[in-house]
Amino acid sequence: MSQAVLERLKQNSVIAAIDSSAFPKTIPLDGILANDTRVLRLKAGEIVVREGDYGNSAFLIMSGKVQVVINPPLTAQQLGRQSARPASFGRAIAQLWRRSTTPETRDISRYGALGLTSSDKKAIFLQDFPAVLKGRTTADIGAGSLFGELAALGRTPRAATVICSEDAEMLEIRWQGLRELRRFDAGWKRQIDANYRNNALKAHLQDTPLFAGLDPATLQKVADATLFETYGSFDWSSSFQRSGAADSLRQEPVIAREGEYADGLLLIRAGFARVSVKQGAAERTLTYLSAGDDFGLSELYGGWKGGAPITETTLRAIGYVDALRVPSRILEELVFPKLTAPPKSFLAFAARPLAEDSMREWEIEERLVNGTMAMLIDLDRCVRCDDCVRACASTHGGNPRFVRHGKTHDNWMVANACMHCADPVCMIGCPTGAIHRSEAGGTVVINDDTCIGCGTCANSCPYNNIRLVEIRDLDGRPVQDEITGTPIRKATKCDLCAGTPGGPACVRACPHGALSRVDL
Amino acid sequence: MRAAKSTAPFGYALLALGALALAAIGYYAQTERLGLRDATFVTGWILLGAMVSLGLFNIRKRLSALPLGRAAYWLALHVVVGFFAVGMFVVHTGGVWPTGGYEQVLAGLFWATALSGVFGWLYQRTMPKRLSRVGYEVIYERIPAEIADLREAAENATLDGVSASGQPTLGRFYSETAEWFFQQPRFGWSHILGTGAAEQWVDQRFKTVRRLVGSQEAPALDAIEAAARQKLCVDAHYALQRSLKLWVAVHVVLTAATLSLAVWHLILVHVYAR
Repeated sequence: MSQAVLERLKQNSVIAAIDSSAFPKTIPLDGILANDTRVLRLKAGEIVVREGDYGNSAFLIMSGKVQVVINPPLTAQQLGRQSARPASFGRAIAQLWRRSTTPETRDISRYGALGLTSSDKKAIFLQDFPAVLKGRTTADIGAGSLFGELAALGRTPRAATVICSEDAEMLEIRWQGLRELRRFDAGWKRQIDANYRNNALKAHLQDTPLFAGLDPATLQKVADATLFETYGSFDWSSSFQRSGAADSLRQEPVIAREGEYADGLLLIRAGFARVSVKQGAAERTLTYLSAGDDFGLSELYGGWKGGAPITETTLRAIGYVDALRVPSRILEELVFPKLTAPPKSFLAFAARPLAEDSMREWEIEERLVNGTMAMLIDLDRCVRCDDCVRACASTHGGNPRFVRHGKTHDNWMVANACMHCADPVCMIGCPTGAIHRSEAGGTVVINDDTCIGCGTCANSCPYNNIRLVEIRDLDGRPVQDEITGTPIRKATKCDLCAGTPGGPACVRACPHGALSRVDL
Repeated sequence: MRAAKSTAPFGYALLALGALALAAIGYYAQTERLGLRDATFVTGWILLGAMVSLGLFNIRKRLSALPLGRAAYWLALHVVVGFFAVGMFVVHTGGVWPTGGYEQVLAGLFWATALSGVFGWLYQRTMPKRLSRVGYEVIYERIPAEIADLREAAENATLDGVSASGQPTLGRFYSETAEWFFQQPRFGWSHILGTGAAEQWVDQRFKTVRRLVGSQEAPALDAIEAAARQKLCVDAHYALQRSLKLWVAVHVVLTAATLSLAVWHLILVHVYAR
């Protein structure tokens, strides 16, 4: 960002209201604005964020207006997504004739209709948006408003689609900048926390079994006292790709340490956390927690019953963790009196033989716990015949969408096939929203029609499970960018054989029952 | 860890069904024989039907895009029908070896196919464990490239050792001994049979030359030895994966030959039966 733009930005009333003296010298406000923000000029009808997308930035409207689509949501087609196709036997048979001897052929005429054969087309416009929005409940928000901050900080899907209703200028703030603004400016903290408290917190608490039975007034008390915390790095995938799994435990930020005073219940809202306990000269991993899990309940309950509320295990952020902390006094006053049985301690996992830890340890070290449909191969059964690869290829026009190779432990291999992660880092930053969760089943899929081959998803995937391929037309000729002349690429990956009845072809094709898709 | 759902219960149920069917057909053939009637046409057609249905497994493998059920169930069916076909062969011929010349060729092919099937079934159940115990995974098609990389690493280490020390020992060792080893996959039978000859060869050669190298050459020799030990793993994968692929090819060729001769046998029998 140039100095002139920065100076102009500082004239904006919202930015001008920030007290720059509250920021430390090492993280000055000007530095945050210069490095973590950019000014976007968007045209009327342009989609700013799509419902269901993952994003790592928030938007401050500097001028113009946007409309938030509340109900009913826009269709997948309107959002530039692939419509979920029902499984069909006929389509499976048609695959037999659709195979091409030339790899990665596409009917490029359909790209022309979307205007996506050029790399400079990155925005998705809603054509005739007033007509599209007619009959839908929308909310207008204008200059000075902030949106998208909850998804950016909480690493959760965007809750609604936002469209420019007129030409607008916006400040896009990366999550890093947003986190610092919240941290050092009381006004921003107040606003972001209030937005979260009003929009998402109560729903999250209600979904937590511990608070599910509370009446609305009591739940409000819990919500009012709850604190928001984030640990680790939002873009953990890049550092994981660089350094791998080596000595990762020591690098993971500590959320709660064994032996320290427990002052609140931690609820994991997003991400993964490792529970460990001291064992000899090292730490032993007992289990891991993910969204919806809680930590510290047994210690707090024990403290309420008269014991010492000392944390029995250590909790560390695996990558990134967004957590809520419910103070112990709230639990003692509103929750513990209603508990019928004492909560279980994580120390129960320590009774397991030490030798049984290795698999769990490996899954966590390699971040495989992120996978909800990982391709697990039992190497003691696999005869390396590659029938799985051939089946995948025959279901995808002759192009396999995975590599039968990957990380191994003992006789188990997690092959390089998309794991359809719980925390899909690949979906962050896709400029066209081509990579998304399908409506049916939440499978992470790529819309080939709107993928511009920028490689953001492939670079973000910490497991190298997305591949960029250079496409060819139906005559086998390489397809080139109209402007730059460079080959057009498309991101490809396992889609769990969407549209094919019978589930993933790789699983069906294995004659030895060596391959399965599992939620690790 | 969770493995795929076992097909064993399905296999046992099929086996029971196959045994019952075989017993019933055997009883029928025996009854017909005792009644001085000829049951060989019926048993021959059943046998041919079983043999053709065995080939369906191969077709299923080629139509993997179609939702035709898990191949693991098809394999279980293939194995059980295979055993059923062996039983049917005995019922059909009244023994294990027929008398006519053509029939003997056909029987020879049938038994070779059946034995290759049983061997392969057992082989496919044991070799994967051997492969996973190698402690290293490589895709079969990548093996030539892996060997080329290891050869290059060994050659570079040799050159480094010679230039660092000024002594020809490592150069001689590489050209006289190690070069042969790094040229292509070696000790195939040793890896398949698990005799340990390949490991012993590497141990002995490096132990011998280590006495002759000085401290300046030692790191290079370590690097060559590391490449050699890695190549042992690659060679083991090559030998075992190749044998698994070769077995399938042999079984398929034998099946095709048996089926061809069986169809001709059927034509002849029907022609001369008139």
